[in-house]
Amino acid sequence: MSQGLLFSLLTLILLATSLLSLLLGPSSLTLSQVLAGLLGTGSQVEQLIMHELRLPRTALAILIGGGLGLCGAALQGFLRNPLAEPAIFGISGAAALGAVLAFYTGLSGLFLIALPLSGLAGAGLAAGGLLLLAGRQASTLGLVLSGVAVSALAGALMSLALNLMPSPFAVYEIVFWMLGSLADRSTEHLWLAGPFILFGALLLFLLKTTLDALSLGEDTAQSLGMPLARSRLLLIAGTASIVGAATAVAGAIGFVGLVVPHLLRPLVGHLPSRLLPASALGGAILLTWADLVTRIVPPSMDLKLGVVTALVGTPFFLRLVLQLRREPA
Amino acid sequence: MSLLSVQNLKVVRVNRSVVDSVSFDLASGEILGLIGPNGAGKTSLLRALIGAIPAEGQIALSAKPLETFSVRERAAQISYLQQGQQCHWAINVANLVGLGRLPRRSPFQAAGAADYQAIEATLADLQLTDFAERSIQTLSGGEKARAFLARALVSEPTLLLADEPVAALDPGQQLLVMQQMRRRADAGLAVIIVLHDLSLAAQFCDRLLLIHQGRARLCGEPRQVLKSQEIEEAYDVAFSLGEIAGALNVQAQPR
Repeated sequence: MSQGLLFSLLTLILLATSLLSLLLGPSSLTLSQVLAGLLGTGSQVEQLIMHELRLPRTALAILIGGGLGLCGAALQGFLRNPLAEPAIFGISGAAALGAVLAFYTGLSGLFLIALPLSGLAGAGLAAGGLLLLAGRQASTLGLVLSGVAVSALAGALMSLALNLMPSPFAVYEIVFWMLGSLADRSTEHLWLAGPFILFGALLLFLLKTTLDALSLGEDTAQSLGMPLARSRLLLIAGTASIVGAATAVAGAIGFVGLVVPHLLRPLVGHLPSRLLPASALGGAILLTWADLVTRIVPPSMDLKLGVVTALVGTPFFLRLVLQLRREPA
Repeated sequence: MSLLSVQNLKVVRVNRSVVDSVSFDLASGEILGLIGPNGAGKTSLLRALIGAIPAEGQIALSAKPLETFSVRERAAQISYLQQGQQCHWAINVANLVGLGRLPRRSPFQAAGAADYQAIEATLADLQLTDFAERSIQTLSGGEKARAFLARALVSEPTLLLADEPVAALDPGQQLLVMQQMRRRADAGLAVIIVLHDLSLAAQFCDRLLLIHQGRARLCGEPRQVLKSQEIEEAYDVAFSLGEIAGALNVQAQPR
C-alpha cells in the first residue's frame, strides 16, 4: 500500500470514528442537533451535551489513544524490542499511585481535577526518579531496569495504600478507576491533559531520524551522527508527559501502545519513523472505538475502557502471533 | 599527505586500558588491515574513531583535528560497518541503504534527488538492484553483507571502518566484498578493515597493523608483518607462509 493512501485512509477512518463518537450517547440527538449544538446555534441542552460531554470525551479519546499509540511506537523503536509498551518505565504505575493517594487522603473529593493533578504529580516524580537512576550515561538495559524498579516501587506503594484503606468502598472505587474510563470527563480534564500529551508527542516526533538509525544498533546510529544521549532524555520526557497525563485523566489503559504499532508496522514498510504518525492515528481510532463500545453496552453493565481495549486488542494480537508462526522471520 | 593521522590513542574502559598509545597514519586509497587476536582492542580502536567511546590522544582527518568537526560532518566523512551488523526491523534493502544518507542532510529534511541517485548507484554497484524492494530479513548472509556494505558506502565517505565484514561469508562472497573495497580504495577511499583471515588480509591490504593487548606491535607490508616474530607471539601460534600462484598463503600451527 502506498504511504499516501495509508495515511489518508487512517485519517478518514479517524474522522468517521470521531463523528460517530459525537453522534452516539445516552440522549439521542440527530445529526442536525449535534451540529447545532457544536456550532452553538442549538438549544441550551444540546450545546451543553456537546460542549461539556461529548466533545471533551471524543477529544480525550483521540488525544490519549493517539498519545499511547505514538509512545508505543517510539519505545519499541528506541529499545528495538517489540514487547516494549508505554507502561515500561513505570510512569503509568506512578500516575496511578498518585491518583490512589488522592482517593486515600480524600483529596479527590475536594475539587474536580484534584485526582488527575495528583496523578500527574506522581508521573512527574517517577520521571524525575528515572532520570536520576538512568541519567545520561545509562545503557538501554540500565534504562529499562530503572523503569522496572520505578514500576515495582509504585506497585508496592499502591498495594500498601489499598491495604491500609479505611473503607472497602474506597477500595472498590479505586479498583474501578484503575480499569480506565472516559465517562464524565469534562473540559477541565481536556485542558489539563491535552497540553501534556501534545508536548510529549512533539518530543517523540523529534526522535524520528534517530529511531530509523537505531534499527542498525547503537554504535552504527552513533556513527551516523545521531545524538543518543539527548534522544534518551527526549524519550523519557515525552513518554512521561503522555503516559502521565493519560493515566491521570483516564486511568490505566493497556494494550493500545503495545498492539497498535504491531498492527501497523507491516503497512509502513517496518520503518520506525513512518510508524510514529501511523501509530498515533491508529491509537486514536482504536481508543475512540473502544470508548464507543463502553457507551453502547447498557449502562447497568458499566463496562470499563481498559477492559474493552484489552478485549478488542487481544484477538488482533493473537492473529499476529499466528501469522508469525506460519512465516518465521 | 595522509588522510587520517592517529597519535597516542588511548582508550580506558573500567580502569583498564584496552587501547594504549596507538599511532598510525593512513592515506587516501589505502587499505589498512587491522589484525590481532580476539580481545586485542581492534573493535575498541574503531569505536574510538567514531566517537562511540571516549578516547585520549590526537586524531586528525585531512589534517584537521577530529574534535573540530561537527557531529554530522564527522558522520558523513567516516563510515562505520560494525561487527555482526544486523537490522532489527524487516525494512527493505533500498530503505536500509538509504539510512546511510542520514548524515548527508539536516535532521528533518526528507530524502532528495541526490539521495535517491546515490542509493540507486550504490545498489547497482553491489549487484543489489533486484533486491531493492525485498525485506533485508529475507536475504542470504552474503546478500545481507553486501547490503550493509552498501549502507556504509552510500554516504560517499572518505574513510571506511569495517569490523570483520567478511566473517561468516563463503569464499565467493568474501571475494566479492573484498574486491568491492579494493575498487573503492582505488577510487580514493581509505579503508581500515578488521580481518581474521590472514591470507585474505595479505591479498587485499596495502599494509597490516598488528594489535596485541591494546598496543600497536608492528605496522608494515603484509609480507613483512606476517613473517614477523611479533605476530607469532600475539596469536601464540607458529605461522608457515606458502606461496600459491603468487598469492601469500598463511597457515597456523601449534607452537
